[in-house]
Amino acid sequence: MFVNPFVSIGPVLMFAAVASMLVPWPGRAGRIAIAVCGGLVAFVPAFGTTPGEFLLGIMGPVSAATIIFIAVFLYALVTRQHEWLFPSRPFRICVLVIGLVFYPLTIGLTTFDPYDLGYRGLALPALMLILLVVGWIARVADIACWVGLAALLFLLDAYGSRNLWDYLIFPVDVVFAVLDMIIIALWRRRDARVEHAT
Amino acid sequence: MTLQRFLALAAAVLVVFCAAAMLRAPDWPAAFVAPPAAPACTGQPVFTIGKFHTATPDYAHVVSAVNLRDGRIRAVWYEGSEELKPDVQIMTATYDGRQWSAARPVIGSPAVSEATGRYVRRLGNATIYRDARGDLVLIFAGVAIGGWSGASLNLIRSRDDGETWSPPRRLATTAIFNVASNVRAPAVAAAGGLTLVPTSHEFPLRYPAVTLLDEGGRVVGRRRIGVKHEGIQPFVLVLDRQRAVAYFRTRYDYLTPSSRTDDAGFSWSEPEETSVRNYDKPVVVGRLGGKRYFMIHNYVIPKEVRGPRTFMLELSEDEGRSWRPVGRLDFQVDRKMQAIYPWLMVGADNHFHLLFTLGGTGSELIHARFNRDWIAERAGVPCS
Repeated sequence: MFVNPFVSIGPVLMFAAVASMLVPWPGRAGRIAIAVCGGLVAFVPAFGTTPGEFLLGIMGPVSAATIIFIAVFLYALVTRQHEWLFPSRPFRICVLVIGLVFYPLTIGLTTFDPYDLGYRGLALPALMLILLVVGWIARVADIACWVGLAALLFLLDAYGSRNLWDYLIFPVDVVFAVLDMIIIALWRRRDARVEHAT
Repeated sequence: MTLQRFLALAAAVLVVFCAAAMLRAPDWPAAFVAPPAAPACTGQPVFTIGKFHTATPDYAHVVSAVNLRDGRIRAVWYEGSEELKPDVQIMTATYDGRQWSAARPVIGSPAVSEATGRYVRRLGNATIYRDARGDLVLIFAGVAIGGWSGASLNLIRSRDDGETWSPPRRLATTAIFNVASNVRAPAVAAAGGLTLVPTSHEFPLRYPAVTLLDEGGRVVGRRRIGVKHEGIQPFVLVLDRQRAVAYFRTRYDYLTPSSRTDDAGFSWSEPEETSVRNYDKPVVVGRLGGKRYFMIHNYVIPKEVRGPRTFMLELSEDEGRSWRPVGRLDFQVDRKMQAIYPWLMVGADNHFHLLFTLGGTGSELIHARFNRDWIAERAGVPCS
């Protein structure tokens, strides 16, 4: 069983999203039920563990950015408001840029380790304020949700980590951002062809 | 005010609180705790060696040890049917100056899974030390899937010198899924009640690091030692309150790189090769007083890298900058087993205690006890 409710957020949302994708239901109440049941799969005992504990064991708790990605996607699936399938473009770009700079440096290519900046000092809070400015100028709410949620989880010591990076970004966030951009580009191309055809 | 503006302002307030918390986080320590003096000379060389635990047909490995308050030594290691098998447990035994106790388990993977709420299938390397509060702290690797590249670190602590332990807690040490982190060498005490634990990052690239823990065992910092030569399992030898040198193993043939710090581990020099001919195994270093140190490492016979491994003793008279071999430490070499993974400490009896694995089919744990006079005699230097 999860040792604290915060670490369960990621696995629960992931399983809810997968269930909602796999089991499309015509009615909203049914779609909500599917999502809830999918989320509860994270707690089902199996092979001496649970799916949620297994996910935590192999990848750890997810970041606030991951929560935003999945929550937005799940909301779109449940409400059938497909314009909500992805976070805003500024959000995706911010996640992508930070991830593409941060993760290559963490794997040991150079002596500089940006992960250490997450333990102390003002570098990361300054980055988060810059993100908020980007969101303010772009008039998107998801960046503020991302940054605010990351800050809140850190202040609550939600994951038992004193490193602010662990709450801000997660490796799969970069993958989500890239996938979202590819899917949107493909949709636009398809829509352009349809328009051209008509 | 729109919802977006309100959320942004609320987030900004939270970020300011984060900034305040980050400013209150412990700084990197300004100094190491002064290293202990070398054991005193007694005038009579002493050397004994013997097996203290037989795991065969199972496999026991990666022994580490610490002094207890009553003068005994407590050793910990991992043991199971094979390395990285689900039945591996962390084991412990004590030495009272005359004999070793029977080994008993400390923890296994099911208990780690239950306590951390995260799936852990296998356990591995463990290192034990006494923190600034006087508690014993045991840090060990746990793996969910894959091999050592998938290892994460867990911590348990004991207030009764290892008779009972707290539930394990996962340590967050790396950015990518918190994996690829491992331990081996002794922890180093630093000012302010902080502890530097030498760690390895092992995937996708390998490099040595020091991880900073506060008095509560929380990770509050991490500094990379150096990425050249892809070293792991650094052994940090503290020279004085500011300076230290780290030696690490590397998979590149015959190499033992080293790196130096003069700011208590915050920054490190570019790793350089030493003259020590080691083959992909950790080393240990002991003090002989003044600028003299001795190293115990795996000995490699050229062109026989897969032959029986024994230990080589090396001496440095310039604070670890240069080394010369002064002899071998052979133990039952006719059995064609491999002596690996030494752990060196000074006991309450003023003697060095060397613990290591003798591996082959299964393994045994060996305990050698010797004094400074014995090492000095082997090295051909005065003991004074």
